[in-house]
Amino acid sequence: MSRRCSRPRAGCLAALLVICISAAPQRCSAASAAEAGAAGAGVVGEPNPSSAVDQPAGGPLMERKTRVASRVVSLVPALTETVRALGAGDRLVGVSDYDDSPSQTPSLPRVGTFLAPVVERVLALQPDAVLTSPTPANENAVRAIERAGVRVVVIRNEGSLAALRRAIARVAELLARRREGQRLLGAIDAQIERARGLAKRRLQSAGKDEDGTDRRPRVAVVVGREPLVLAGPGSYLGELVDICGGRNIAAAGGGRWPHVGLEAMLASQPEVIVDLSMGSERLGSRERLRSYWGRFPSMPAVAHHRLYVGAADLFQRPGPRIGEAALALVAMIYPPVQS
Amino acid sequence: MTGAGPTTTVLPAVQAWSGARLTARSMRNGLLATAVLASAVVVLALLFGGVSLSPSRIVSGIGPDRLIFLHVRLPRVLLAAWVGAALAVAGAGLQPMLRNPLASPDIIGVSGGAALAAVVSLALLPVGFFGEMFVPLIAFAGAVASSVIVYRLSLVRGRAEPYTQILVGVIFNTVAASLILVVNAMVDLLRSQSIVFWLMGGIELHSYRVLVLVAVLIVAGTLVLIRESPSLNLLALGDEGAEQLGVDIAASRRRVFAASSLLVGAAVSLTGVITFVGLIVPHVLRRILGSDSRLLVPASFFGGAAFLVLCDLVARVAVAPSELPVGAITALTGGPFFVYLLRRRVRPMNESEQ
Repeated sequence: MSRRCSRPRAGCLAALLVICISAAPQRCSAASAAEAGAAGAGVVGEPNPSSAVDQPAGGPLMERKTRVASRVVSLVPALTETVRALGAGDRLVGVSDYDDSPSQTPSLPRVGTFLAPVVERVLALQPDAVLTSPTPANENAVRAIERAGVRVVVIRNEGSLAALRRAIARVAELLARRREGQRLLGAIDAQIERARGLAKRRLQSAGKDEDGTDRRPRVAVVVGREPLVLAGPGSYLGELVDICGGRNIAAAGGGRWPHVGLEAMLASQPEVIVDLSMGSERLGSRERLRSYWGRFPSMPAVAHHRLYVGAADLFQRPGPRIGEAALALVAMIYPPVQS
Repeated sequence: MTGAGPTTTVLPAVQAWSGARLTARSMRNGLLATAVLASAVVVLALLFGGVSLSPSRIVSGIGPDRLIFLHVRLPRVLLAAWVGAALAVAGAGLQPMLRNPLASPDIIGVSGGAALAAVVSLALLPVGFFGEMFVPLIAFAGAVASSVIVYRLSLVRGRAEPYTQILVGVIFNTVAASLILVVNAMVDLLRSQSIVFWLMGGIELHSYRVLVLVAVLIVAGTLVLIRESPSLNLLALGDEGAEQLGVDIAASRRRVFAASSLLVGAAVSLTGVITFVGLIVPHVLRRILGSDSRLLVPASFFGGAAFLVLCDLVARVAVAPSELPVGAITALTGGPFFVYLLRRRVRPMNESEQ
């Protein structure tokens, strides 16, 4: 039976890379979801009580709250980037298989992905904190790491910009880099505001808005193609589309990452397509994407050459570069005017 | 001794190798050999993995070795052993009972029902809601429910007919698979992702509490099948023959079906669907040890454990630092080996029968 699902599976896995990257608020562990929910946000980051194996005697709770992470394993590229952006890259002892930006990653050990962490390798690095996003796929692994006495900080993958801000703040707190965290958030805010301002000016200069019609370009952000998955309005990418003056063709109410039929997508006549469904690194993938969408020459985005396929990395990692992503997106929706 | 002697009415694929009578000695040797094999594989799997552990440091507790051994390596190997044993024993019970060489735990609908139940719960409930036992319990409930449904639907005039049982099981599985696809298409990506991972199957890490629980279920199911193994020999002869020899067919079949469902349910509720183990292991052992169920059922327990532990070891080390899905390894290694055994023995079998 599992065989039957292989095709959607491939699509899902591809699309997943998108989400994998998404990072947001936190909760300590999948295992202690109930406790965390009951006790409120205050317990965020608290390890499972059963993990207090090698706690020093006396006030383990206080100890844990104030303990600063010094050997960190990150299972999510966006969180890895966040740790580095906070100036604590030297505390990373292991990263995920998806961490591929060669400029940044000195050959740190790879420990699998956040979907399938290789627990043995994680523990072999003797970390004092493991950063990951929550997914039912890794719940058992997270519990096993906690049973071995290592703190797992599960940063919830809810995908909104607000969540992303909380994630950065949380990582900053974990690393005792609060000031750097504030500075980073400030920089991101400034970039996002710049993108918002740019979009607003371009929309106004287009003018002739008296009749009240929505003149914003229709935008589709494709995160997976088989099956077709778009960034919904509730996702951080959907929020970016909104900020950058685009009209998301994915309707509200379909969830953050809705499955959409190809017909519905064609019917909504997107004027801009940002396709993130294949990483940007692989050779030839851009051409494949171009020919895929090229089959629909009447689609405005294709007819007017408004198909963007090369920036997957930037958009798929809701980390410190999210402001950069906003500026890149606004340039796609409102390309600089050639004079 | 009511060993299944060569008879003309039996399906060759199930009964072909029953030539030799099962003696106390061959029984002991067969069990000893498979048990030694299983132990050896377990030791091997404990020693090797993506990270190399030193036995002396495991004992002395220096470095992370002991931690890794106790919290990762050991529970994983134990789970692989239990699940492999459960699937193989279920296969060894179902093949003679259904008189069909293709009978395997995947075919009676139980794994489909377990998967469907798990997927629906993954689709409907909030991500991160689950405690450790939640999805496994739902899956187990699904397995039990589907086994009852399949059994009920396959009753013809109050009797469970092998052909109906197989057909109903296959159809049930297909319907469950289709429903899973429907659910998967309707949910958003985050949920779909967890569904896909559940379906792929794999040896996950569980606490010792869970391992003990599943061990109890699996040992219980195995004991029932060992007790039923003399009847299994007779059931393989055909209903009439078995009845004439004094087997209460309906009751025996019910017990075998229930025990197999229990075994498969316990296994798939923790690991998702792992195909091929329940099909291949009994067949391979039948070719080596003969087809007497009294030996084959307990031997499948050890053989299944050895096979899945070995496959999981390969899955862990083959592409280290990453890991492969164990289901792929079971099919890739078991398939060719089985075809080899089949080819090697097919000719003499045909000759001897003519």
